[in-house]
Amino acid sequence: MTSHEYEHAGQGMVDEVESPAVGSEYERERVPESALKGPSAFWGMYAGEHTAGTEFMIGPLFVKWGADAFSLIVGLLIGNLLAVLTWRYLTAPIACSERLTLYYKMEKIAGRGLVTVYNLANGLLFCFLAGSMITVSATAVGPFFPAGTIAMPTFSSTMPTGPAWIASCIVIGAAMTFVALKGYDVVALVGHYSAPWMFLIFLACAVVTLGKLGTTDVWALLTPPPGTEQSISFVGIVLFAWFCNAAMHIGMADLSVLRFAKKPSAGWASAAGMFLGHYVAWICAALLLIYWVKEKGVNPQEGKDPGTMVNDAVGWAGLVCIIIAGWTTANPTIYRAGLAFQGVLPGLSRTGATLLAGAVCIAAGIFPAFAMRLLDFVGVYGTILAPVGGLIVVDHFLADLVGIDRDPAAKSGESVNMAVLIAWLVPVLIGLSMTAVSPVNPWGFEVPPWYLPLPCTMACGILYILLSKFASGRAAAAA
Amino acid sequence: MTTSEKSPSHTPAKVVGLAALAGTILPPVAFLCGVMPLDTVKGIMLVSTILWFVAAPWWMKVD
Repeated sequence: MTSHEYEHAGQGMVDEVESPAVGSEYERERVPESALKGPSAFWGMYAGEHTAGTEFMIGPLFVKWGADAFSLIVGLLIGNLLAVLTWRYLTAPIACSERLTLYYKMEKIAGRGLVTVYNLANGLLFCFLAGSMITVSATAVGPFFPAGTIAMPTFSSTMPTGPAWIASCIVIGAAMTFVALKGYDVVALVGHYSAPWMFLIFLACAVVTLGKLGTTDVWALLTPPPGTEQSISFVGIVLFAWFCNAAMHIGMADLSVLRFAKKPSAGWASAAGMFLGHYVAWICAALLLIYWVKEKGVNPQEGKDPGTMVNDAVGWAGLVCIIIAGWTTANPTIYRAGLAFQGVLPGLSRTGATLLAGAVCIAAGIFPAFAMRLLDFVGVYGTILAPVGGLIVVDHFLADLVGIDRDPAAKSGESVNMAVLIAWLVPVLIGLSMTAVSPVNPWGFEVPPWYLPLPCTMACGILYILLSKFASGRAAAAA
Repeated sequence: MTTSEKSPSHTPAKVVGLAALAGTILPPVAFLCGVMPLDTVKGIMLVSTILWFVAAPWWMKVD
């Protein structure tokens, strides 16, 4: 799971952003030549920000779903490669040509009112994402206390496991919110410093696990026992790896980062995040659960909490890693969610908005359902936010070709471009209604959420063209 | 973010930082090879973690 979404929320809504990271300046103008950065600025950033605490959940969830060795080793390779190619050949070229944040570009196409709606959606999704990180971090508290003091959640847990668990989540979430109130410069620095060490901790977990299992045959270890029901296919793994950051690449949120790149080739830097964080780290985390299943008889459908597994493998260094990985990702997410809420409710103070975001995150963290269904959540996140990338692709590459205005809201001054609103909502609502997370499914079949970002994005782009042409035709007829 | 200008503490910090990173990954490899007990691995990794967070701010200063 990514951790740099936080750099984008609230941009365009709040003018003063206290971020030291790439992407916090020139929010309403093109990035000048003097501010452009070379590729090294992006390699380190992507490597650090895609190795987060939630990686400890995703690898084991693949084991729960019976993913086979070929799917994990080859499927993740292909999916992550497709993600990198999307960043390189779609996101980065638009970013280097427009040199605007997603929010400012969206404002020009969709109108300021719709950017507010996007920001609210983004802010709420951030809260649930940060809640998952609080859940993962809280599992690292358990091993510091005598066994059984804190009942740890399993994959099937949806409700809080007891008062001690709730207290752990509240303490961790409150600490994160308190730091978020102070801005997040220090935490961003800690995240920067942690990146290489954190990746080695993931690797160390896997190496120790191999030592405990007495084999280096990773392929054999990743092969589920005969008769294991496979709930996720090879194609499913490829699509999950490709679209777990859909909001960032086809959704164009990374315009805010890559607009600083001298050349589109900076998009290759995403490979550092994908292949270290979403390939090596996921497989390392999967091996942890495989050890507990093989040697300790844990039911893979129930799983084992990350804190216990990591403590067993590498001790307190691993627990520190889980807490820091969760903290450095969740804290700025809370901060940015607060900014997003403040953009929607301008009367709210910065402190009030951050406290509100923190409270929502803590509430989400107490309920393990969000972390334990992280794969679904990530798919829903991409399905809701990625389609706006379809609008930007149409505006950038196709508008002149198909005869519609570029940056229509900037020209008309409208606050809500109805063509955008309809083109965004219709595919998203239809898509989500096909998933297991929907309370109503009229289709008679279910589609995993991570299958949806690409079709929804394409449908959004096509609908936008059709509706824009229809609207311009009506305007011409009226004139 | 880039590594910034070299301060007098940069080189020692780099040495300590590299040693800390080595202390994070080499003990697990030694355990895998059967030449180090797990408790020792965990101890060295914890010390290496502390050293890393002492050295990294001096080594990886951000512009």
